[in-house]
Amino acid sequence: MVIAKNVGKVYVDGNMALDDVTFLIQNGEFVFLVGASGAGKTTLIKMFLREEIPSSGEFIVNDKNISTLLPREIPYFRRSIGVVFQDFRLLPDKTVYENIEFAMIVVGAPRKLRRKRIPEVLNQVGLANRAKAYPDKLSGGEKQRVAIARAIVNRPPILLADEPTGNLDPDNAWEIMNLLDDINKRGTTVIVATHAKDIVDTMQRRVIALEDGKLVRDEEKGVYGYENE
Amino acid sequence: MRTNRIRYFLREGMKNVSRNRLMSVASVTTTFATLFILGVFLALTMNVNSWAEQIARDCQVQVFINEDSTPEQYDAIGQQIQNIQGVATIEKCTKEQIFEEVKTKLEAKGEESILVGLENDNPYRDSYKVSLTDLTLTEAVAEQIQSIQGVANITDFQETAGIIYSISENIKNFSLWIIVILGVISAFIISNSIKISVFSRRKEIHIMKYIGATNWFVRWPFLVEGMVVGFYGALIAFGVIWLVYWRIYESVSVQFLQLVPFSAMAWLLIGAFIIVGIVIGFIGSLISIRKHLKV
Repeated sequence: MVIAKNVGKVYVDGNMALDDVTFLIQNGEFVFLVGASGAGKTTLIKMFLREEIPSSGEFIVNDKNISTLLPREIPYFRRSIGVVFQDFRLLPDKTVYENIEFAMIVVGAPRKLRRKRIPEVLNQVGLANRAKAYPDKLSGGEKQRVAIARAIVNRPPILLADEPTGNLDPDNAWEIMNLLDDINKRGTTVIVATHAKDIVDTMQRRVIALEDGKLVRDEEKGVYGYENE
Repeated sequence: MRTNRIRYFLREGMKNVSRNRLMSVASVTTTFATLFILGVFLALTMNVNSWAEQIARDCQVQVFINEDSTPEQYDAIGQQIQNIQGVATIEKCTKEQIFEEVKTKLEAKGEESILVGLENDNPYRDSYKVSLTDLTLTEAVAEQIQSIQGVANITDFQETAGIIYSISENIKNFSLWIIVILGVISAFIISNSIKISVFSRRKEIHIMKYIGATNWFVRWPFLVEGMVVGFYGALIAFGVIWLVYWRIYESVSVQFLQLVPFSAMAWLLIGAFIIVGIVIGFIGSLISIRKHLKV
């Protein structure tokens, strides 16, 4: 569960990135986060990862108030959120299997569990036959699927995707969205920040829209609501 | 820490060393240089100490007899010295003996002509070499010997031993400072090398941090990298010191000064090298990672 209560963020240069933003995301929801560049999406995403904390208000993720987390608690907090980026961020010198395994090693998962769990997620994202490939041999869509596998391999309750289809052609974009939808149906809360109008409009999920740091819209079965820039 | 984590850290650290080859070579070289100098000073200190001990042990007091003494008086003086409390052994050194010894040595070098004409005018004096049961008694024993009739004078080698001891003390202090300074320099160079390693892997570090890696998890591979570099430097330094010392040991033959055999200091050297090398590497890398952990 994510609770944003009157969240404001003013950067040291005086730029107000978020202004009195309030919303609640229940476990198991699928939410689109939309808004033009500079609307505050990036700042909000950084709060999910506890890279930024609010200047005012409260931001609570999985019962943890990010403003009161101790530095040594941050790594453990981050393990409750899987994250996927527009640019995939895979390690080029590791195979698909090793990239996913890396996430499990980081959290100290024993080898036995890794050997069982990794083939499972590879199956789930449809890359069972690509385990030994290196990222530079993969298509954009495949890379993003590896990134998703890495994000969910430790079974975090929340999956956060920042422009996951930004670098993909429409076919691949839809495959990724279907995969995210499938992950959501298995119980994971999925939050997707996106500019992809057709996807938002077609999928008919909850939409939270930001404009100049303010929450301007929060609707079930919403639409993108802007002309694509 | 679980063993499979330790294995992961070791593997990643070793990978870093080979990935960062050029800088690793530079770091190994400076660590080697530091440790080599440490080794030179250690060897020097140990030898000087051993010389001081030899001198103190072998000839603590040399007693010279009046020139006009008869052989009977010479023997009697020996008897009296033997009876003094604190004297362990005495060794008679007649002037003829000494003359012969010197002659043999000079003949070996082909310089015996120096002694021509001195056969009947021996410049040396009869003496005793007195060794003591306890070095702290030297002064008291020397005083008593001095008071014996017929004793001309005494050379107290304690003083010489003392001087050598203090030289070795100074070398020790001096080398300590050199080691500290060189150690800081090598740590700095290793830290630069690790900085490059960290920089080239900053993306990986970011990803690790997003996945929820603790700072220590991120740090360990780089610490291992630093320690491996220090360890290699230590091994090379040990090998080179060994070779160099062995060469010197073989070629130097100062009869009255015996060099400490390498085997007597090998463990100290390898132990000191590995510990200092690893500590330098550890500190060097610890400094350089700090900045990149703030994600």
